[in-house]
Amino acid sequence: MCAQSTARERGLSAHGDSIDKGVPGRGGARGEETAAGEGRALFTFDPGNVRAGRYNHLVLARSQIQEVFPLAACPWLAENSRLGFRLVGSTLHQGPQPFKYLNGVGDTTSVVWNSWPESLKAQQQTAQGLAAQIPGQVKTAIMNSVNASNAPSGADTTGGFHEEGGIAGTNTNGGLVISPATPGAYSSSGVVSTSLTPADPALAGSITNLTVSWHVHPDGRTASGDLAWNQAPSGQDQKVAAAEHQALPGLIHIVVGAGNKQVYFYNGSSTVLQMSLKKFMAGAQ
Amino acid sequence: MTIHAKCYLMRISSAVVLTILCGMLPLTSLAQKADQELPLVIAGKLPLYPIMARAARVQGVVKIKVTTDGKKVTSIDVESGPPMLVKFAKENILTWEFTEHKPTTFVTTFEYIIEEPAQCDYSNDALTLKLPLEVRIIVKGLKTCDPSAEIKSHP
Repeated sequence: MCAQSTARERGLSAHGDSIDKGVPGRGGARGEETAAGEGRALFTFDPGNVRAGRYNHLVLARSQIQEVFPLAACPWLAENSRLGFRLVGSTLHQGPQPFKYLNGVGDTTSVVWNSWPESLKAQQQTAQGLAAQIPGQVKTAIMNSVNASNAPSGADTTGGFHEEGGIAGTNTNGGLVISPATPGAYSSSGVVSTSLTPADPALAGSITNLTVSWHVHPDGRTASGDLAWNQAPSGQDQKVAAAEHQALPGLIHIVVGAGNKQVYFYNGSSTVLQMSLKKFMAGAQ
Repeated sequence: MTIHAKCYLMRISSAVVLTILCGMLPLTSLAQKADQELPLVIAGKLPLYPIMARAARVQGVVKIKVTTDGKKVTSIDVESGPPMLVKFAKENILTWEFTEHKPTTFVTTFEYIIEEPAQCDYSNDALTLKLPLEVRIIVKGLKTCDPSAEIKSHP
């Protein structure tokens, strides 16, 4: 059973407040806090203010959200997240009605991207909590980038010596947009890089809310079999993330180490969260 | 008519058409300026290249029709451009303040340009403003710069 706790009870105001303040000592704001009571919906919502659209493509103005809850607290809600819902959501249900299982197309549940860095700074966020916010399709695109980095591309005739990456977000209708980048340049030593130039510029330009940016650190090896490239986010990655974090606090930066098969979340602060690629991909469609 | 004469006439007519076409381009943009008294912009936020667009490597041209009531912007209608950039161009136009003027409508062009070669870090913007009709924002491209690993020697 999921214990009862509403955003309001956790000290969040209805409008404009950060929605990921964690409970000190209890781990991540999204990973461990509780949500709706059994058989109740503890969120109120004004359906009149909701833009029409597909259930999982609705994006709501922060001011429209009166209560929010982290889904991962309850197994069945986490399952929804696993199926492509993001971790923080709000519903169209009003009042003490039974909460409907979120089982796919046609459901009325909407989702919003959460702002995570505050709790990350406080070391309350978990990699699992962040991973659960990322839709399955985006995870699949990230995995595609890893595979593409391992495959030959241009001057990289063996694979493992160029970067791949991409971005994801939502468009004006709230629809999910995933925009892979063109492959980075071949490099065998020194510095490996990618300009993250969108493979489809029009697709990238249709994003109005950027939520995920990722790139892959390659799996290239030296003659002695050591990894040729650092797998964790570089100092420059951190520097860029810090600048972007200031303007886009909700943007999740991801580096995937194709060599050590680790996923790193970073935002320019000293904290880098990490999980295995296998766990990250668990449940991705 | 001889073949030479026909060719000569064709060349002449092609030249005339080209001259007219080329002449029309600047005339079109001049028409907007000549036909109306454009309002004087006296305040507004710097139209910096949006970090979101830089992070997404999105560039392009946004055209927006702006209508004023003689003091401020009363409506903005997007004519074209990538939605990501449109959002920020609109936001910027809404910060513009004018001296009192005759209510008017004009089309403003925002040009967002990412220059090569890309750099490892964010750079400052280069702005060209020909208000209220043209805004050009140029930034250097951004790339990741990930160093090679320290190689541990095997025993």
